[in-house]
Amino acid sequence: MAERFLVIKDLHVNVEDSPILKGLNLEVGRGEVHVIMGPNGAGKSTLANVLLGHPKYEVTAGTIEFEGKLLNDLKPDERAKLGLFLSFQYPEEIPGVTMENFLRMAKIAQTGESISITKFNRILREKMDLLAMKPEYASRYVNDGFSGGEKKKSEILQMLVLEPKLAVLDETDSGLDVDAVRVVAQGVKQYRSSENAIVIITHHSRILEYIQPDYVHFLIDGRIAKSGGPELIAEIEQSGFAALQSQSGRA
Amino acid sequence: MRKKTQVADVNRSLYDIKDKFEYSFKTDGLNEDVIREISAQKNEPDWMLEFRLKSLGIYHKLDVPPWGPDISGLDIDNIITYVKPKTDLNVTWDDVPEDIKNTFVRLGIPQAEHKYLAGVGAQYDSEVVYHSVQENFRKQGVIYLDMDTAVKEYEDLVRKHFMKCVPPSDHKFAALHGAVWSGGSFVYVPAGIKVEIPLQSYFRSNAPGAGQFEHTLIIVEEGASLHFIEGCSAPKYSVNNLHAGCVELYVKEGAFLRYSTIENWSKNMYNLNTKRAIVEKNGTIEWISGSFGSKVSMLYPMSILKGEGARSDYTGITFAGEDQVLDTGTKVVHAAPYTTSNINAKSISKSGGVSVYRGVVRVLPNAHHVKSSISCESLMLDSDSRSDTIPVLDINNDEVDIGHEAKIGRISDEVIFYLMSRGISEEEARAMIVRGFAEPIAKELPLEYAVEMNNLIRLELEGTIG
Amino acid sequence: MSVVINQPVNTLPVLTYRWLKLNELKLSEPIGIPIKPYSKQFVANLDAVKQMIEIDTGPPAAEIQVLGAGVSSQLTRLSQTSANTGIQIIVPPNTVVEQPLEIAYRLDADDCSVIDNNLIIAEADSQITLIFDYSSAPDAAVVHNGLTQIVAKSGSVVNIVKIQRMQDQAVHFDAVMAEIEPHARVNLIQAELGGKLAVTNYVTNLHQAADTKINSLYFGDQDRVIDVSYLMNHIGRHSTSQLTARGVLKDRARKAFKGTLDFKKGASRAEGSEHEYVLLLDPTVKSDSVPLLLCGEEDVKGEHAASCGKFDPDQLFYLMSRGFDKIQATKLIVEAVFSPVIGEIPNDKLQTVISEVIQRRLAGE
Repeated sequence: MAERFLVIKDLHVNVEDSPILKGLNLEVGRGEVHVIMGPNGAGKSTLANVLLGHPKYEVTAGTIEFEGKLLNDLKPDERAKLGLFLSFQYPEEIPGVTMENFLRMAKIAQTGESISITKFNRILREKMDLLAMKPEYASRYVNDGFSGGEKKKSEILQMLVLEPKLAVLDETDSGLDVDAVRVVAQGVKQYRSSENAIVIITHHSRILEYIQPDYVHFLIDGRIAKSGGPELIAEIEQSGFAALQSQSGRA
Repeated sequence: MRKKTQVADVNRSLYDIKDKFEYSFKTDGLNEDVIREISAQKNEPDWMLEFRLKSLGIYHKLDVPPWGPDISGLDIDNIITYVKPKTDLNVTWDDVPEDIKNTFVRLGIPQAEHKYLAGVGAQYDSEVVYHSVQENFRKQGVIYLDMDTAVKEYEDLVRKHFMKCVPPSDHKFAALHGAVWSGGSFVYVPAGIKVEIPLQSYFRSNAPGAGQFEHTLIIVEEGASLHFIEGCSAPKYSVNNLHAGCVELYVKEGAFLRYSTIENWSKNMYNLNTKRAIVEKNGTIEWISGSFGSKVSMLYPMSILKGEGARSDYTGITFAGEDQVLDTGTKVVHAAPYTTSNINAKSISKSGGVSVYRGVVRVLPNAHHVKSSISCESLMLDSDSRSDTIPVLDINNDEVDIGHEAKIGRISDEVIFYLMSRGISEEEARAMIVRGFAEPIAKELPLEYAVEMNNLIRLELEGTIG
Repeated sequence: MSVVINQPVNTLPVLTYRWLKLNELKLSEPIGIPIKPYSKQFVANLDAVKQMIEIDTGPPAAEIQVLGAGVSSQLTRLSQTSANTGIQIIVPPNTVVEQPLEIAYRLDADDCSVIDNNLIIAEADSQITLIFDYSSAPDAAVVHNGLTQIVAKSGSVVNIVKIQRMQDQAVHFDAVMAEIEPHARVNLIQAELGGKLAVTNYVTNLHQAADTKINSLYFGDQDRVIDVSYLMNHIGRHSTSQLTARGVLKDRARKAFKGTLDFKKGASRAEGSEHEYVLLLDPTVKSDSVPLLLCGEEDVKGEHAASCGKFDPDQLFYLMSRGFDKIQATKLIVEAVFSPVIGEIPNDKLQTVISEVIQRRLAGE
């Protein structure tokens, strides 16, 4: 690959002293959409969290590089400023902090440029319309009292507003009804461009009915067990992860 | 536009006092002669002098509460040192403690030094505001005066209500207040009048002890409404480090009163303040209370829900930092059927500060169909600090619906990570969460106060996180 | 010989407003406790367990340090100096005693006082369950004053069940103190059902990863006065506690619940919770609750919740629409309140006895 966008090499990660990722390798190029699938406990969410530098996840070996920059020792906010974004599987609730305030502050923190409230709110409303979010959500507290679906939409809204270079979507489609999946997919499609990249972490293929990935990887027991094109999705639908697991066990 | 009245809250008795008092000392120095002197200075009616003397008698009989924070730092055996004006003090800007100067500057109060020294700027401002407000009110029959004047001009009204809600026998410092009170605000809102703009306590008289033993008396008649704001977020500095004020609120049938306080006494102050409201049928009292300053606070606004359908809402936040013990909360007595109370108390402790929520909800035997909901949340920012929750539920009727929740904890690492993953620094993330925690109070305040409260929180957090 | 008890009981760990008169319970009159031997057999199944553990009946020979004042220092001292009964147990390491040890005291005109002093030492990784059952003959003016000290060594489990179902003239004072060492657990199930005055006090020191679970029920009717106090001292990291109290008050009964979670500095990752649920059946009852959360450590989770009120009129209507009369419906709802606690008592016969006592009292019999 001519340009090195995201490069993960031999990544080993422990959570509370037990190894979860055990030598994971992954390269993501600009403009690409990657899907990572795998059974529960394989390390999918660990990968998402470690990319943004969650302090609970300890990198014991290996490297993560983004646009040629080593991420290993960077704090989460520093990574965000480099253009990384994580759509959380379980977004946190922050009572007392309004969505619009929070997002404007995040935007200012990331760009280092101040933006007027009026201008920012115009952009925010635009993106909210796109996700069929009612305007009053802007003045509600971040995820506070949101339903599961609303929280996921709020994550996608944040992605659209913050315009990251690399978006990692951790189970963004789980717990959503069909309509919500469609809206979320809409948002992701809107975001997708040749300038950025998306890593979709999921354990079912529903969202992939709407978004065509370039690459599909199976993550099993802390390693990428198999990589290929979209045709792999069909394989998983037919035989399930169990078959793959036993394959990789043999290997 | 920032109102410039904040500076008015700097205790003027520090440098404005012109009269020199001579005292003879007995026991703790507080004696009849002193009280007579205070009363004579004010040229008060005789009944007030008698009231003061009676209070003095009670004061000498009562002991200091055996519960609550340690107030042994108060020289109770020599109480006169707090009562006696410090005429020999010649305060200059240099004498003002460094942290207070900084706060002035960082709160953006312009030319604080200049005004502090001149001692007139803020006063001037408040005079202007006062007069325009006054003119408007006069048409509606609203009375808004400083307390010393009210005693003379509205003698009957004051006499009927003065320390009837908080009797001097309530506790030792209420008795002290009854004996030595000075200054404060008097507000009377006639029936049916809705005062649209929040009224702020502008009054700072030159009377000795004003701002230290000030008395606030508010009467909101039937169907009337008022929002009263006491104090402000600029620090109040006084070398006389005992504050024993008293607030008495009478909320008549169907009336509404919101009483807001953002208190930021200097950190040498013992703030032993008593606030109480008597609420008649279908009346509402709302307490908005932010406690940031003082060395020790014991402050428990109390609502006596006397008439059917009366309601009390308390929203309070307490932020205790280094060397502070802030013991705050609320007391509600449900004395009539169909009364309602809501309590939402939050506290933050950091850098060795101690915050205590102390409260009670009491339902009297005849008070059926009472509803009460109590929520206490405490945030610990480090392990050098303390946070105690001491609530009491005292229920003497079965037709009640009472719910109580208390939680104590820290800022979750997951929430910090969430905010940081959006590009926000750890320090700002923590500040954001703390501000969010305080938001229920901020949103109840007029904008300029809310902004200042947030600034206070920011100042309190600076340098302690990271 | 008898002693006169006059000191206030169950003083709060931190005091609050005096006018509430809840900082301590002042006895309405001095209580005389006769000191004389207790004559009956009181361990039901001694033979079944005595092979497995060291057990002696009678008060302990030596005193161990008490964790607190107990119900009052006067009453604690009384049990230490003048006990007329008691039990001392050492459960050897790794010994699991499956069968609960049943200790039953029946007070009557002859045995009008029980002053027991019990010491239970559970060695590392051992397990034991003890059931204490206090009952009395009708119309007998009797007094029980108890002190039970528990030392749960590392990894051990001690289950204590305390049932008090004495008659209307009885007075009951009971203190339980537990030192819970790392990774040990002490579970307390408590049912306060009788007596004219019942005052109990539980205090525990929780060391690293120690745990205590308290399931408490009280039923107050007529003129009964109930004062229950719990103090959980979280000393060690990862220590945990859960207190659930469920009560029903009827007639002119008065109850004070005092529950304190005290997180000491250094008890990081400790978690404690307290829940109290009180059902009020008559306008003449008095229900006081003082749930304290004391905290000197940042990294803890503490919570308390209480609810207090009549039962839901909709619920009552629903039951009545199904053919229950009001008393039957009340019985059903009260049973639902108590069943989670009663169900935990590892003795079927006692479960039945307790249910019957409650049902009888509800019916006003």
